Amino acid sequence: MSQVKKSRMKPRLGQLMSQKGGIYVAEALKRADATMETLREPSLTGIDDYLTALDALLASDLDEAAVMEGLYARAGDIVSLSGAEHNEAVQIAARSLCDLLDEAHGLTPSVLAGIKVYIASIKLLHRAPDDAALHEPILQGLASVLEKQRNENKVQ
Amino acid sequence: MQPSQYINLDKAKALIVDDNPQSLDILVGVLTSFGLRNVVRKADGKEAQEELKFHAFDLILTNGNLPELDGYDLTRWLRREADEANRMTPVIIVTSHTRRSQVEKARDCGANFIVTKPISPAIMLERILWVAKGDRMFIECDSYIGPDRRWRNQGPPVEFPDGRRRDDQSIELGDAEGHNMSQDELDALIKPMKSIA
Repeated sequence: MSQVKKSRMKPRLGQLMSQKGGIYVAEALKRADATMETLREPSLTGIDDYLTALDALLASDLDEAAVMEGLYARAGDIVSLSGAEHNEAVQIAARSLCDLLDEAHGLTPSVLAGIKVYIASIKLLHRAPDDAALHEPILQGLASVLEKQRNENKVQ
Repeated sequence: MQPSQYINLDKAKALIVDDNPQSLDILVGVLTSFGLRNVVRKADGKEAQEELKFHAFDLILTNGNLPELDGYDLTRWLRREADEANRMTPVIIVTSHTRRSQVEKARDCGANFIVTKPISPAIMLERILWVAKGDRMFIECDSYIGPDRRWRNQGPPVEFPDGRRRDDQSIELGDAEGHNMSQDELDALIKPMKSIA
């Protein structure tokens, strides 16, 4: 059995943070929310760009692995910026697309069809108001696309 | 985390690594709002590694998925091969998605926390306060170097104050799928292991 060495972590960060001065947690969060608000529109525009990039990847002549990798990366980019949306549905849909791409065994016709459904759905949800009645059927549809793909993966 | 709690990040130095420029802007913007002034931005793991070879940091935030050297490998290198100034520096990995094939790698890389994107300021500040507290032991053995992963739960996550996530399974337990373990087997699992203090 290998030896285990344990030592106490004493991060300098802790000592620095407890020094006199600084700001209240409430103030820090208020400032951060204000910063996030200034970054909202650029982030939404960023999502527009990534949606365009997803379409471009599907139409590209790149080899299958490169397309899959590119689609996965762009879906992840959409998740990164999805905090700017007024609803969580874009985040859920984009992360679910990451799942689909991660678990897929290649760009088969059914995977391709699933990806197109995801992209169309994210476009519908993007910049949409926070309305669960609007989002729920779309997210349920995406969940069944992923479930169907998982079942096909098991058979392969 | 109490709203009336004071934090002082004036003198702290952070390294933030993300290949997505907008995501990097969000991370830097949030940390700057918390009062952190000394921030070094890097867009890939290799650049961050070079920075860590020559400069000490108090906090590292890195994206998990990075080209060439990803955030998990960067953290693993930091814990095993970086010099003493940075080896125990708190690392928070942010990720939009973790591939199934990378879950174990993420678990074993030695990060203090893995936070999912999109970034929430409240969650980020809470994790920073947790890592600053330094109440976790630093473990070094053949298979793992990093903060103790058997860390006591500090209560429900701040974003889910009722203690349940939306996608949590029902709390109703079904029938066991396998045989019950014997008392000897259970005792063997919790038997104290010899360690060097």
